Amino acid sequence: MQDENVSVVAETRGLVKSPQDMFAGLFIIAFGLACLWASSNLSGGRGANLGPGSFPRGLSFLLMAVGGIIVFQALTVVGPRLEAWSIRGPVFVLGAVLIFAMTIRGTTLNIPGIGRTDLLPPLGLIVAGPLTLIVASLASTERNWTQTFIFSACMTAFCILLFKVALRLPIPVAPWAGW
Amino acid sequence: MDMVANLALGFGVAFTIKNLGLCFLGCMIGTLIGVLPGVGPIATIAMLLPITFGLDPVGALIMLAGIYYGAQYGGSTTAILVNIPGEATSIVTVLDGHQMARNGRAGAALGIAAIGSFFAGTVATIVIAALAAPLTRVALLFGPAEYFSLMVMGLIFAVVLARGSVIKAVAMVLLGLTLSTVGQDLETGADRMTFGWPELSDGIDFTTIAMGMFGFAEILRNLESPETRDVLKSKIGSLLPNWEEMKRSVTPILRGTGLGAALGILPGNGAVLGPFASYTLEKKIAKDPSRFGKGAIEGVAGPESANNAGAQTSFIPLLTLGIPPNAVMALMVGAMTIHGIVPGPQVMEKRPDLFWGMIASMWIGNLMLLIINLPMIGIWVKLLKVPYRMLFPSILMFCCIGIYSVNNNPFDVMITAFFGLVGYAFIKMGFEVAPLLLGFVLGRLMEEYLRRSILMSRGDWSVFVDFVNRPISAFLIAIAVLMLVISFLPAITKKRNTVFVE
Repeated sequence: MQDENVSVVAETRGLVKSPQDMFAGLFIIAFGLACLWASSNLSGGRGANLGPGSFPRGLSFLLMAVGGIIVFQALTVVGPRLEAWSIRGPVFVLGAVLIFAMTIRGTTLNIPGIGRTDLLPPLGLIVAGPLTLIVASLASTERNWTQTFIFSACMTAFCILLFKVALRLPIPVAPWAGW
Repeated sequence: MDMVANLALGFGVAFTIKNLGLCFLGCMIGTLIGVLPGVGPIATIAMLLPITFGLDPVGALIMLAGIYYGAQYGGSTTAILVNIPGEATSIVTVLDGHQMARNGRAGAALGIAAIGSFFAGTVATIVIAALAAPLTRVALLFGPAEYFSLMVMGLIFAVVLARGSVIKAVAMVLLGLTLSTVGQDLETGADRMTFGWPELSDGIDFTTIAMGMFGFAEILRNLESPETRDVLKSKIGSLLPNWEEMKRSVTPILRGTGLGAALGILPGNGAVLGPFASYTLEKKIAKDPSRFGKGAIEGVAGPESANNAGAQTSFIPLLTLGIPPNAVMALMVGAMTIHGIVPGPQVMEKRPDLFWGMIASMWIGNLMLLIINLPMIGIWVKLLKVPYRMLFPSILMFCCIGIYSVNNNPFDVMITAFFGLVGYAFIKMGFEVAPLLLGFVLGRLMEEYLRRSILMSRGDWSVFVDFVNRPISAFLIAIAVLMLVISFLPAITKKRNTVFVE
């Protein structure tokens, strides 16, 4: 009875019985290949003396083998579909983190041909904090601007008091004012 | 009697005003952050690591241990009051703990969790003190081959204990090992897999992976499902369990402590298994198993004791062998390294004050949890009512400041964002991240021991399974293979799934 159900599902899904596993397996194989390529310039050593390349290369082959097994499983065992990815969460949450990284001490790009260019000046926690908090808040579907602004101001003040004043971590708060 | 003298030395170190204060502060902040839903001990410790940088090594480790216990206990509080397990080990507590809360016995559930944890912590402290010296002597018998085999066994354990597909967990371990090779080669100094980025030649920082994959990815996952947090609205009631409940809890606490302590010693995150094992055992031997899942106090007392016992005995592999058995202990390695201490058998001899002081502080930390948490439950409840739309930006902010402060380097923050995305992709592909972290942590050591073993055996790869000359190594590999084979057997696979579903 149960077997019948499974085969029905399997037929409707065609060749790939578990899209999630298929994707996972292919990812692992691709990662293995990338590592093999990245470690191709490293010496594998000689005889008893393993070189810097032996361990990574050995792992690459193992990864590809395991990826192969997962792909094989995806073709034979019925499993879940690949879940949909949401865009809002990753974009705003990780965007907020990137903004923190780029503003806390400024960003300098090294563009070939032009040289080192300042993209952003060091802004410190006093600017990076509210920016990070507000952008991160956009990831949630609920919106209340007043609350968000008050909250980010209070939270930033709290972080400055805790990390800079109380714990004395060397994090720049307002580098343009020498703090 | 050495043990008594050693413990006395330890208590002498821990019982200074400063160290007591640090222990207290650690427990307090640890609980504060650990209570937040979706923030487990790994993220908590990674976040709070920088605040211990300015302290002396003894104080820093005492404080970190306090943070760890606090985070653990905070997770249990969330599990009981809200229907959300903070992390893997408190999943079981949710089952009966939250039901008890619904029945109006929230106070008793919290109380017995604290009492059970304290008892388990006391026993575990004695176990550590008793086992540390003999195990350190065993460690001295270990050569590179034995260390390598032990780590293989640890990783296999982690694979077998991970939720979901075994083969996918193997893939994660391998991925972790591969990531650990990024950066300069220890022997030749050659840059490996850095793609020419100078920022990567020091290797990838463990905190960035842990925070990205556990902290950020978890936030992304939580944002997807609309919030259903039902914080207990009724009264918490008296924190002291009544006489009947006490009587029911005594033997589960004893059994849970035993199970948890024993499983915690295993390399490869055996501590995770403690609460599950305890719950299954209590349910099996109960006179009326149907009470479980409806608010049976045994289902809180046993697993919580097992949880705390395991959390503490998992220090044993780290302190005696220098091998972190799980991600939390890996963070401890990071903290110790920052203070110039290389974990391993030599710590006990070279820094007895630090070693025994930390062990003594474990017990003090447990006592403090009991004293500070019970009166502060009201505050934790208020904290649990903060809506997620304000909670997650704050968590994000703390994470950013934490990562930045490890090396004062904004590049680390960017790498973490990248790992957050990777962690999110892993969730979508059905991968469990914990094995990856362990692989990453053990990777460098493993490679070093592998290369040394092969060098010493003059290229003979059979050195690891040589039953005549290297019986310990061969034995460890045999256990590892056996475990792996068993985990692939269909009957076990089925059982394994039910254990984790329950």
